[in-house]
Amino acid sequence: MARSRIERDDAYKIAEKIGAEVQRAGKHARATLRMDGRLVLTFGIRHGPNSGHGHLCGANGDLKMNEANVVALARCTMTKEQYFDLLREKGVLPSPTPPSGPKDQKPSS
Amino acid sequence: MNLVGTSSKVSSPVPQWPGTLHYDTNDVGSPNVVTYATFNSYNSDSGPYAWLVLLTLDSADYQLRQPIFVGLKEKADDEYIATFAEAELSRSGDTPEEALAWLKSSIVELYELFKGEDQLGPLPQRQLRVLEQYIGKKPHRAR
Repeated sequence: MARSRIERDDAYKIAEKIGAEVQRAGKHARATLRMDGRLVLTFGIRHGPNSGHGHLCGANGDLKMNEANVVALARCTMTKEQYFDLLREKGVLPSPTPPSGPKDQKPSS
Repeated sequence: MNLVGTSSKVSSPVPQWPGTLHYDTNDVGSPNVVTYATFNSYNSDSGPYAWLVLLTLDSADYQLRQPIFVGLKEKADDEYIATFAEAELSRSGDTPEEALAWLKSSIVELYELFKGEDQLGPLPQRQLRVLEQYIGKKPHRAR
């Protein structure tokens, strides 16, 4: 069995990359991501000498994607925008509302 | 702890799931955790898998309205992942006890966090709906 490749530093890098706020929560820490004032995602950051972060990976993991993608997000091959697109596909983030057209505009002749 | 090699033993009068193997909870370390388990044969890459039933949150302020079924995966010798799938929530630890303790405290922390927010995205909304089914405030005792 392989240990999780995700370490505490990776979790902090992800928090910084996606703009999540990190706060101490008991023995560990919690990252919270807000968009337009709305809390959209939280994830736990383990503190400890050999802190694997397998809980971030998988469908029920905090970041809602597989370990390879979590590594890619932490180590720069996946951009923040790519991650947010993935979260939208999974229904974790709301889809962006299309810009509405000008109201009461008369069709040009 | 070896999740696969634990001996069979019924340790609590909780209803038995069909096809599962009961075994002693003492290996998990908490008297408030009842362990059911079987090897997850369809996902052998991810290691042994056990089902647990949490009967308490070990919280001063909150109690469970109903038991929580938790999956416990042995990712490596020193990494265990506890998952409350219905709430889409996982936590890890060097031991099963650590993973479960963090999961329990996270259940309470996230419940309080979500309840205190004015606006929640789709995922926290779903998680709060589930958490509300499972946890509630303990009644205050009159002096």
